[in-house]
Amino acid sequence: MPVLIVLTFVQIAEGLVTTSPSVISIPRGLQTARSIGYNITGVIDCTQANSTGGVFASGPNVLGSVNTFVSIPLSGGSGRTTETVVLPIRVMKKAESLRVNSFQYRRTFSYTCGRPVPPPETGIVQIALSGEAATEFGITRLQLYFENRRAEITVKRNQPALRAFVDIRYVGSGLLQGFWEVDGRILQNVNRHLVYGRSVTLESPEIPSLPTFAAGTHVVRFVITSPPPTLPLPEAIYFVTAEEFRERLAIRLTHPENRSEVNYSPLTFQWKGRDREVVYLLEFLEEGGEKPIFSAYSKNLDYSLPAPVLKNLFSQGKTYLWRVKGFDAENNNTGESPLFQFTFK
Amino acid sequence: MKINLIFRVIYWSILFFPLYSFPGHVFAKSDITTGPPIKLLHPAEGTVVIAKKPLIKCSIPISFDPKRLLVLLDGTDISALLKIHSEGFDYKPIADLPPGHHSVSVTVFTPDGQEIKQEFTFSTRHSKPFEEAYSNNQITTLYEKLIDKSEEVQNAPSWKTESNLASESKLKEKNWELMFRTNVRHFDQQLRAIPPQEKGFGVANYLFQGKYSGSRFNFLGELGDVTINETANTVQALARRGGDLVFQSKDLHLQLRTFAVKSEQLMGFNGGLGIGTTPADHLMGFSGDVGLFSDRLKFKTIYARGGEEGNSFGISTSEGAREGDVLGFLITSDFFKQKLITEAEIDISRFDGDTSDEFSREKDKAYRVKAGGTLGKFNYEGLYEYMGRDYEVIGNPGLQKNREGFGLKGGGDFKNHLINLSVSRYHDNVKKEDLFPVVYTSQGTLDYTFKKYQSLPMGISYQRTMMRSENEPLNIAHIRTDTDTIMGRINYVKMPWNVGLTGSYSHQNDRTEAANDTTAITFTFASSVILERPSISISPGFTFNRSISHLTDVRTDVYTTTLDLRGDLFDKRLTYGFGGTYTISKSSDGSSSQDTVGSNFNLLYLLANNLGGFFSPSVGIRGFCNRTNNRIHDQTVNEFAFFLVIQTKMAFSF
Repeated sequence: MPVLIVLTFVQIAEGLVTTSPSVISIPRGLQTARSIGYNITGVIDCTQANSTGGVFASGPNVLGSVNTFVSIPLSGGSGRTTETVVLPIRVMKKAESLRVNSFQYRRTFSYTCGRPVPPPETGIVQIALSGEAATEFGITRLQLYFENRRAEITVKRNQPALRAFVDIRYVGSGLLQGFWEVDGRILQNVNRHLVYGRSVTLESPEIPSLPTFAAGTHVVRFVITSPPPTLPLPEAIYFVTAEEFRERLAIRLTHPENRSEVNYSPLTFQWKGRDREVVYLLEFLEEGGEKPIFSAYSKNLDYSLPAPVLKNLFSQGKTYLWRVKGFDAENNNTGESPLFQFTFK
Repeated sequence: MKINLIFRVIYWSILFFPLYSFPGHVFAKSDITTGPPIKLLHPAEGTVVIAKKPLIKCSIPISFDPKRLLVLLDGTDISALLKIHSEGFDYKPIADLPPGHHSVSVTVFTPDGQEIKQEFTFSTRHSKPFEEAYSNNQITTLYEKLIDKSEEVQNAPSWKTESNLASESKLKEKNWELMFRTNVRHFDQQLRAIPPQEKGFGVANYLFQGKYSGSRFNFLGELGDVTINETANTVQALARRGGDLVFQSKDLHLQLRTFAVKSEQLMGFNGGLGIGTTPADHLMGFSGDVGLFSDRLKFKTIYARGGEEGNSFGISTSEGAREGDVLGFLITSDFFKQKLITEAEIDISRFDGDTSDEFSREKDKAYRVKAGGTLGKFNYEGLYEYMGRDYEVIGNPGLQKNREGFGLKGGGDFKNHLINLSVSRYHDNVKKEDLFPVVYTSQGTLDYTFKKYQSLPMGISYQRTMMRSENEPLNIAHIRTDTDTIMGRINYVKMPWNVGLTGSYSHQNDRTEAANDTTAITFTFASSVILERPSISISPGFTFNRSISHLTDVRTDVYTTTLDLRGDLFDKRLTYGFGGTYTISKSSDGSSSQDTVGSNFNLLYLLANNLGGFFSPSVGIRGFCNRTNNRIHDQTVNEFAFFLVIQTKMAFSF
């Protein structure tokens, strides 16, 4: 009796998992985080792809594992997601103990489908182990601080020249791009080539400096846009008090001129002051000296060196330095001149 | 003969008449003459006065030329500040006198030109129990109430209060000194606080110091936010909360120090005092310095151990928990008054980069030798250093391990010119492991400054860096990268103007097949003008940034314009401030084109100044306006918020 054999073909969807990047380079001896993108295509009639964990392996040798769940919702047969993978030092040490400088990170995805489920697919990232100089350009540490080396400082209202610093530790070489930001407002964009040297310190701009016209708390950040950051961006905080900063404006010394030679006789020193100042303090120092050898108050814009002082404290042929400080009615130091030099002939 | 003798007696009597006619008279060094004594009426001579600004009264019971009266207080001429009257003068110090001994020197000239000089001494203390005692305190309080905001602004609270107490106090008695400095803060708002801010009270920072300064030894104890600085390869520039003790012996030229700080950076009460001995989250150590030949030769030893657990306030890192210790030895010498200064350091570390794994600490070493000095106008320095493959230190995260090489620097400071030149060559993979390449980095820098015109300094610098790899394993790409950077700067500084122009061009040439070349160009114009009348400070600035990726042939330009201004009107009754930034950014491949505006402002009116002697309230308005226009996606986002501000400052000192 003839037998009718019916062959039925059932289409089984086959997926494709690609990783981005597919090859990464990491520095030995330094725990590193990398962002890995998974792209799944070609799985028809499936709604989800799940992976319970990833594995670091060199051939058949398992160097370590990552026990995090990754899920990719699928639509129209495809889907994508990213995972931040932390590569621990132990994995690198195990690879070195096996005398290999490259291994793989593998993550296998299984599917949830309405019809016959395709076999699991594995996404693979090739990881090359290298020295810090030869690896991909990446940021490994950020520290934000002020002049007190801390991420917090308290300053007076309208205090000028407040600056922040960021220590950036990096591996590899490349173009660093980012910007300084305070309270959400950009102060300065930064483009700078970094060559492997492990760390660099950047300063916030001098003009405009960090604003201090509003009392209260302010937040400073250095935002890195390239290389793509894998670290959370730290913040530094400064608090502006309601007490005003007494700005010291420059006092201009007019006579004697800087580096001039003058006769050994009672000399009149002159300067141009500011309206705020009511009292001036002149200070005279010896070359290389830190403390004044003589000082004098004046209410005018000049001072004549008395003869007894000249004879007792100053010598012919010697060079001296002088400067003027100004004080307002509340005895706040509101002005200061640079140091000028003169020599008694 | 008798007549000659009589004439001689008369002659010498006249000559020495002043000596025996006015017993107890004090002479000036030259042209001194006799007269009734100048008297210090207050304070009484030789007494101890309890006052910060004691009134000084002097009587001068002879005719004198007030214009030529010369009075020195502790070597400072105070003649211009005296209240002179016919019988003498009064003086009230304008600044607190430091506690201790003081001298008053009075020189008067009589109408006929004779000079009389007298000196007095007295002592002051700030209070009876303590020779110096003060506490200066400032409280800032502000309250903000939201007036209006745009819908897009999500994180503006409807109200907020902040207060800060800034306090500095000091007690001093003889050799002992206690000092306390702190900022205590209170914060509250309608919304949840975003860390590191916390609602309630917190200590933003504090430092307590106790000192003993003696003739033979000094002692310092610190508790709070301290900074630890030891050597270049061990603990350096570490600012943390904790404590340290320092003992110095002047006779032995010896210093001993011990410290214990919290590894993470703290703000607020979290972490308590910071002192502890758990190595996982503290850093502790001790060091000893001894100097020989008047400190021209110094030896230092340091031992430190501790651990760090990852991120903390202001610090973000990819590394996990790590722990280690280090032992270091440093010798420095300066026998030739800075003409030749030498330094040699050797250190041994044991470090575990991941305490959660099964691998134990790695031991390694580092050493460096440096010599340099200043010879007149010239300076020079040579450095050789070796950092082992696994050499790491908890208190010094910027250290570069696995590196060896040398650097040479030299420069000259001439009348109008300043020149500096440096070259260096380093390589990594110090153990020459065949699993990894060896990368050689050579760098040369030349910097020149023209400083003939004090108000117009200008300069130019050039740097070239070359990286080359050797002994690459098969699967590691070859490295061949050259980076050239040229930078110019010019400033005009003449009050009230400060104008600066800088430009830089940097090209990184990837000479491998990857050809991943990049170029960065920056021009910056920055200026500020500070005027007194009207009282205003204006700081406009402009920056152009261009980055080029030659591999993809994409150019990205960013134009940034900033304007900051602040000032006051009506004798500081009204104060204002504004800060704004306008940025345009676009890429040549059309992937991004955006302009953003960010601005904030503050306007305050002072209601009363020093009400009751200490209270100064103000009322005003604060706000911000931001706008982002994304031309690629044709999206515009506008954000604004305005707040009513009531703030006050209170100052009290005792």
